[in-house]
Amino acid sequence: MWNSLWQDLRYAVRLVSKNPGFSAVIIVCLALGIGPSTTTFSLINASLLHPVDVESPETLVTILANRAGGDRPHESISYPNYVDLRDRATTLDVAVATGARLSIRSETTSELTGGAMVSPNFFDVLGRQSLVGEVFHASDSDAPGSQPVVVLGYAYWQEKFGGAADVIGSTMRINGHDFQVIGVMPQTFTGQMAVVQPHLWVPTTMLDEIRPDIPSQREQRGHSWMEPFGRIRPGSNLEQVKKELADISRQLAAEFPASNEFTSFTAAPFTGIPVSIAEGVRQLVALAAVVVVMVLLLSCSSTAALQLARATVRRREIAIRMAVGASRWRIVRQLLVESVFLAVLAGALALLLTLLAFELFHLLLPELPTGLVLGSSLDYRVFAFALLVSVAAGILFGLAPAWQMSRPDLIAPLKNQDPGGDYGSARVRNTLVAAQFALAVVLLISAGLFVKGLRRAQSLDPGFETEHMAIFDTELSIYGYSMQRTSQFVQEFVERVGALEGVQSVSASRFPPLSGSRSMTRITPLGEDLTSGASIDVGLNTVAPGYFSTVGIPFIAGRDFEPQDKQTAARVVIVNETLARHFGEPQSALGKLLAQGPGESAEIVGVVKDSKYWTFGEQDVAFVYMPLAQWPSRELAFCVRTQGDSAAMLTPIASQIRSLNGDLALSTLRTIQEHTRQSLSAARTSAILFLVLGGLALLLAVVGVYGIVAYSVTRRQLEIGVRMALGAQPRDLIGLLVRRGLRLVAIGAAVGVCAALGLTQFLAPLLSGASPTDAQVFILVPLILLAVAWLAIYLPARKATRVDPMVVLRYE
Amino acid sequence: MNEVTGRSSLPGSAPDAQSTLASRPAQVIHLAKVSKVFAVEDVETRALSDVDLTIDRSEFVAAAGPSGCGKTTLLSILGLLDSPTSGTYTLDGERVTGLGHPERAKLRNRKIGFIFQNYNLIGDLTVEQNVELPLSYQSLSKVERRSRVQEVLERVEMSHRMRHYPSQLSGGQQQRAAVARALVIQPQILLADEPTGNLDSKNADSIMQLLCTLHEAGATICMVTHDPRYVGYARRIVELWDGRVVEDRPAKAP
Repeated sequence: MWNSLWQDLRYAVRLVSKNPGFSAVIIVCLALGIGPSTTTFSLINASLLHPVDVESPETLVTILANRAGGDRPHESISYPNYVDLRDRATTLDVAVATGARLSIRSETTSELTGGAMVSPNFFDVLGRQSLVGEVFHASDSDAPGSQPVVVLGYAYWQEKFGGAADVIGSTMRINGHDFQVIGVMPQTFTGQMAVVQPHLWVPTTMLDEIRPDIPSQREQRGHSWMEPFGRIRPGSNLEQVKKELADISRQLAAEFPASNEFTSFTAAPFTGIPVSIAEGVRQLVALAAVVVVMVLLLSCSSTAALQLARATVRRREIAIRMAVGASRWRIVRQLLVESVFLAVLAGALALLLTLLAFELFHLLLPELPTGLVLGSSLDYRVFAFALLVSVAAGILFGLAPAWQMSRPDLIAPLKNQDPGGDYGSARVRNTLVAAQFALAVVLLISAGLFVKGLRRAQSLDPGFETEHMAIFDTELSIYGYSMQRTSQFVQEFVERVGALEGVQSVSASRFPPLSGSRSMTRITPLGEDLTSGASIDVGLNTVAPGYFSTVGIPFIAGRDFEPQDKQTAARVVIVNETLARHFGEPQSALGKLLAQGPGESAEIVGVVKDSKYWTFGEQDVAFVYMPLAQWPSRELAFCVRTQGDSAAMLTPIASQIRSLNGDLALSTLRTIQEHTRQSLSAARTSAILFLVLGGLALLLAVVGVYGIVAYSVTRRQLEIGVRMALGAQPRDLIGLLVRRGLRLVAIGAAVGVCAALGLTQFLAPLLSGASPTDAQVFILVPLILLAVAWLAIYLPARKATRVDPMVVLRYE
Repeated sequence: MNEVTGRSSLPGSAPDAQSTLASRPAQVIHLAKVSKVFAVEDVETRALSDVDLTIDRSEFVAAAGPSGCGKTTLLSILGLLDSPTSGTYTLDGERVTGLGHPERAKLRNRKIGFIFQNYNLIGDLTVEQNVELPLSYQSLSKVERRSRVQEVLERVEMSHRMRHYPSQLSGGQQQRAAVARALVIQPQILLADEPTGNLDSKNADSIMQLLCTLHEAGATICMVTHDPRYVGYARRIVELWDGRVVEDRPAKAP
């Protein structure tokens, strides 16, 4: 068995070396199909399958809070509950962590970065030590404000400090307070969660300094905001932990019924993936799997078509082998060894393509979320996966040709005769062609829709001026600003920046235009008699006076907010045109009242044109603006209208901000062009990915149809020779062959269009407002495919008709 | 019918193999009322009709007749490349009618050596590898395979060309390699389908001489030919006409 397998393998090697051109085409085709699979798996492996870099993860648990009546457990806990769990539990050590936006100030600038606030025992519970310096421990002082220390993530250390060891002991200003750098964690350490590596870790003892916006967070038992986990102590097990957590939950419910009556804590095995995102991750992985499997199938069917073409040449060889005693199974096995050998070579190439893909990702998709660990290392799992997929692909693309080639039809090939009709294999080939084009149509239509959505977004009028404006986001709460100080800050910002030469106007709002995140509320229009109508879900922003003129949103009727629209004044709102139409003509909305809650109503004092509030892709939405003075916020976006190029104004604006508060992160100061470009990044990323996959699908389908037509015309040499001998012109024969080929392509394209009509509905939210059944895309894509397919069919057909009929007839 | 000779049909086989063969049936091939009908859509073509044929061990039989008389169909059935539509076929004492493809492949590999008109050597394999091919489908050690290949190539005087590829050989040399491949499994019968059809007269004579030598050494041979020059090399001639055996006679000495 092994001996004969070795023989088959040696023969496969010989075949590859004897037919380098054909083998190269097969290998490249397969590699293009396997590549997306290995790339996707490599990403999944690096982010989800890689064990989180912690000691003995099997003894770690995630602590979950169940609320009676809640649909699923959540992974958050309040600080007081954490302290009680930590102090009362005897079967496990409890720790907590939470993400924190940290403003880091350096000598030259300040920036916002993603960090984590963790309990002092965080590193002890996870069992990891620092790469350089040290970490903080549970045994250190637990008194509030007593641990102004920070531990750096490896990537952040490399990026900001060039990996210098002397960073230890230096001081970093975080959220307006000085912290001493005490350590750097190893490269593989991402904390208690996979995928995202925080840039820095600070202890919860510094809670008041890091989150001064919630002064009562140490006491509020009902405010869950930290993610708890724990390590089972030696001698205990998960069941004992669950029982103990249930007991403590009952105690806390009795002691603090207002907050804990319906809450019970439990534990689940630690995975590194938060339960809250696990379902989303599963869906994403499933979607990616569907797409890459489609490309893999396409690649397999194309290479199967090429193998079938090759089968013509090898008919005689196979017949000889069977005549001297090889069984069909033996022949199938030999052919599969050959296919698998080619596929393994393709798998090796696919791994190289995976590395290349990561380079391309970084070039084409620079807007990856900060801290996301995009794994590009090829570890044993990726190699094993590539091998597995290669072997599966080898069997998949080799099986049909092997079965066809090993048909026990020996006599004709042994006598070098054309066996005549091969209706069975023709069915297989025809199905392959149709399936390839159906898959290619689905992927290309998806790509077309994404491109259409992106173009639509790029050319769309967002309803505000997209030039000569700078935007600055900030979250004053993390710098300890009270509401009163915030109001003062806004006033000073408007005055100082507004006084800069080249600045036309300045205003503030809760969110900038195209904010990327939805903010909704429910309002009820009140009639003349104050009877309420149906409630409406509307978008919401709070804006300062001058916002509309600064941003460039024109008024249809009424007035802007004014300084007298203060907290103590009557509540007023400005609505957009879509909301105003609920009252008839937009102008007729003026003076109408909107109820926002029991006893709270506001008068509509202005109506403005619709614009894009969150994303380019959103549909027209009813929107309400409220005065910032009446609804103050410490999360702010300042819009600065400039007279000329706004990029040139960034430096003087930054200078003014520093003079207001040197701790404020300036990394969010940008031009409106940069801001709109960022808001298009998701659409651009999707368009690029689907274009690459669609292009790949087209290439593979074309190679497949070329192979099948080449095979078909080779088999029909005699028929072609006879027809030509009887007077047929080459163009007649080309027409005949092209018509036959295109009929199959058309059937495949039609099936693909039908499938796409169903599948693209799921893409609708990602298409930036383009219709998922866009007629232009649904007509153009099949036409382009038919044109390319025509070429792929025409070339081998023309070649076949250039053969001298007498040569063919004599040969036969 | 011809008498049993008791000689081994395996050229160059070992003495213990000869003693084993002594217990084998005298008839290598026995066809009884074998017919073959090809049906394409509504049209039926009767290639063989009620053929009765027995070939004894160590016989050299030539099946002759004009084109389309059923010679090749007969040889295909004898070689288990095709199945009869009706009738029974017994090979080396074993009824083989109705056997499935795997069993027929196994029998071809163990008992039948083929020599084709167009040699049917695999172009990607050397002469040595082509000859070794049938043995690669048996459970033999590499040493034994190589030894048998060497032996049989020497017998057909092709050992000096064993590293050559078919394209580097003349037609006669290719056919000698094909004969070696047929012999290497030590078959019960050699089936030769127009073995001289693609050769010039000099090479054709040489191949026929080789077959005669093999026959004299004990080989059982059934050859299909329509060339009267070579029919005479056989010891017995079976004439076919319209799929029927119309004459079965001893041949005159060449």
